[in-house]
Amino acid sequence: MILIDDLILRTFGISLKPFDLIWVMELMKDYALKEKYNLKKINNQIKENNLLFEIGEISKEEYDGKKELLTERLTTAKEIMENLSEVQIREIK
Amino acid sequence: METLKTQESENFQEKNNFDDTQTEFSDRCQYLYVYGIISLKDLKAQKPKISKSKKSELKEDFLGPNFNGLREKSITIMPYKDIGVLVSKYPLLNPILDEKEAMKHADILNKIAKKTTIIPVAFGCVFNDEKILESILKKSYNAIKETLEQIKNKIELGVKVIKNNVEENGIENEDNTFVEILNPLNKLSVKSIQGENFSERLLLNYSFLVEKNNFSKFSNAIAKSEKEYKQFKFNYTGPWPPYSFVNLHIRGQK
Repeated sequence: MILIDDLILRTFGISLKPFDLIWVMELMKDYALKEKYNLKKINNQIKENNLLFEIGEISKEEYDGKKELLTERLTTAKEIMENLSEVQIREIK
Repeated sequence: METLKTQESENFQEKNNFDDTQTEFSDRCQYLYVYGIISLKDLKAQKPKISKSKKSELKEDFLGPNFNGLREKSITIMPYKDIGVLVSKYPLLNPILDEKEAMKHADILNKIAKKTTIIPVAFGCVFNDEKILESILKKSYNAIKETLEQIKNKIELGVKVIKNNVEENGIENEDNTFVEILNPLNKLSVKSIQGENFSERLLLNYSFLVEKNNFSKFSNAIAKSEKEYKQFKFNYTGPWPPYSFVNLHIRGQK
């Protein structure tokens, strides 16, 4: 409801400080979601983790810990993507 | 006699800690899991008796003992004209991506590639039955033959060059270094393909198709670059079946 009110007000060129703050917070939330649940980015991080382990830069414990975290994030990201509309997915990509 | 048989099978199940689900699972393995395609001519040159039977078991003659496919099922050859598809029975039409199974798939392909030229098929290619697989072979026969010829006696080698630290790398002529490392490797290979740039740490990520008899020359070139460019780490992998150089996509029925 707040979003609709805010959009209507913006259409008429009216800007209210509290609504502006909400707008910025929503943009930040969107950005954070896109960053956190970007499938390609997570896949790349998984590959980087494998590579760093292969060249001996990280220990088995570090590798396993990060792998678990990234795999979990990938599963969540896939679930989120499944629930998003096609338009939203295009925006994220 | 029948009672004895039942007792025997019960004992066997107990001994091997099997349960009803596992017995059922074994009965359900009705689909065909595909590993890759080979040339029967090449195989015949190595083991003439293989072409005699329609579905020869590779286990003893070709891969050696104690070597099974996924889910411990025997790998067999499904022949079509002078090519053969390596298959084993599998319980699912749409396999779930499982790291252990994917590793086993890759391991099987590596072992076969050491013995003969193989067109590797990606993990998870399952067909409903032989008829469907045969119709695909019929349609793709020429492309398969062409691919087998292109990759004959060749191996895939992977090279990744990694910067030690992105922030303090301070490499002024990064592009020049890239070319200086890549050029000699390209000269020793038949073909090369750039891999994905999945990390900021990567300076170079390439796959090379190399003649088997150039393998040691290629390895020496890598060793030379490693000595010359000590500010980088080299990740040299292979030999692999030529995954990156096969432009043939065989898909199971979904």
